Amino acid sequence: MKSSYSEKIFKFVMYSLVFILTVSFIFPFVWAFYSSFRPESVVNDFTLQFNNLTISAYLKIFTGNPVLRWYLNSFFVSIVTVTLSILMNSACGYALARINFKGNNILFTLILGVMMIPGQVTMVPTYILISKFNMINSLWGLIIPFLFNAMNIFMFRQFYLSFPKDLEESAFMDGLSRIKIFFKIALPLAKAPIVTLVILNFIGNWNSFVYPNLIISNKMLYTLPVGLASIKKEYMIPINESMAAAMLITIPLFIFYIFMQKKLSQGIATTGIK
Amino acid sequence: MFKKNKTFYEQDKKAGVLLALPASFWMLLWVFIPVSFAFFASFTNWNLLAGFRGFVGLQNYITVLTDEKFWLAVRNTLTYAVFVIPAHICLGLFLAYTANMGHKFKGFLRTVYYLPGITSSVAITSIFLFLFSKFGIINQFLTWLSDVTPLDYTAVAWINDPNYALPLIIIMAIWSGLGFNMLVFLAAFQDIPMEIYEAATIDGCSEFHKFFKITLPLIKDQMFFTMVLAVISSLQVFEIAFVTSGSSAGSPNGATYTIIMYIYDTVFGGIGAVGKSSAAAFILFAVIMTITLIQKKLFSDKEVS
Repeated sequence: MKSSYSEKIFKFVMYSLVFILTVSFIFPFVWAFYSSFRPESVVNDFTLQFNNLTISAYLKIFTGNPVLRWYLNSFFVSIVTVTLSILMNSACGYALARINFKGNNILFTLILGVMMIPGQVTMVPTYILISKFNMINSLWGLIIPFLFNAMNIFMFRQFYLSFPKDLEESAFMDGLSRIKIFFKIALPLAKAPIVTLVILNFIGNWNSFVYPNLIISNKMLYTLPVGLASIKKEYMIPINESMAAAMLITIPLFIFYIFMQKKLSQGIATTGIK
Repeated sequence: MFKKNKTFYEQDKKAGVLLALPASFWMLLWVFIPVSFAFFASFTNWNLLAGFRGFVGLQNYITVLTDEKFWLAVRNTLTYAVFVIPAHICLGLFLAYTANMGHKFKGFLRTVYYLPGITSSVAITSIFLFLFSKFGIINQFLTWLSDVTPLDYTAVAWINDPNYALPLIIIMAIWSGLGFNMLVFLAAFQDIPMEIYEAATIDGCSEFHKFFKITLPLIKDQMFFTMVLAVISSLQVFEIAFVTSGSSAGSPNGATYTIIMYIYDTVFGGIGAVGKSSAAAFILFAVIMTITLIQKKLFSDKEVS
């Protein structure tokens, strides 16, 4: 049949395009990974050689800089920020969805409004405020100001709107107060939005660069992206080291993401968060 | 039971306030105070080091709107948007469409295209500066291409060349943001009932026809929504350009100077002009707000009709 023949051509062209596009999307990572193990002298040669691979670029980065410390700082900031912000925002989302306290509607309207404010508009005043609180050159300056998240509150509110009421009522019969009901029942059962938001917020925090770069100038307090960017700034580093640095930021996050991806797509399916 | 329930809901109110209090306080301290301060500062001569130095009325807004550097930033930002948004929408649609057809690839494509989106801007910049360096892979390829075709190209380090620096930023942005757009469209496709396609197949529609006559009209709303989001986020392009140009904002020669960079650079680039920077921030804020409100209006009109 003629139409099926042209359809075959159509499909062939389409899949070829997808193939080319996909290769060009993977290539930068693969090439950077490969180059991070190559000697500096051949790093621009478009050849595959495996006999001269070396980890000297990684060794040089690790010996010349407190990279482990930067990892620790990044982990500390990301984990503390994500934990505290999930607690704070879920509590607020729960209250907004479930409790008709005075000011509920006004608060919700304000939060919807805040979602429209582009973050960078407040960049300069936030910096000034952080310095007024004496949090310049402190890891807390990367945590405290970034706990409130209107989008997260909104997501939790949506989740709790359809949360079964009988669970809470029977818990109340058992003598639990509303606060305890939240911490013992509502929060542990909010697994889907928590997992999704933990993953997304963790990625965001881990990659955060503009504020850490502005707030931290003490080398021992750098987060990983700021630390590795600073190596590049200080002197012209060889390309293999620069690629090794890029891999040091990227690979832990990729492992985290691929590990969590299944949970993420489940979370997206149940909460509608993208 | 009713009585118990009543006390349940009575003690609610206190608990509700208590649960909402931390977030509300944080919102006040870290959103409303900074926004109000920026608004206030935009009418003053506030300096990062010297603090308040008197009111200047609308002077900051006039200064910004007549500042050549600001318009350079606007031009660069719009150029960026004009290339990045259509690329994201078209390629995102195309990828989502193919991913939706072959179930085997879906998970793989999802991962491949999403990974650039979760890569740190520091890593992206390092990798692309290497690929597009003077003797890098891309230049080797383009030089070869100019040898075998009539194309004329001389190898340059893209990031140091005023003509190629912004295109490099655009390529990085397309690369890192495509996955997100693909996911949005993929989700939209999955809401379309398969029966429609089956009926169309029986009627003898080609794939081409199905896509343009069925799929596209059905995801019109998501398309529009994605476009508005894309415009808003394009207006805020900053981080990649910031990391790329390092200590001299917008280098080379202002080729990568964006609106947010103007806001940043006006304060942290040396002179600490918080007032002028805040005025620029509010101009951008007003533009983004207008776009958002128009979008909201169009959407709510649709819901009514």
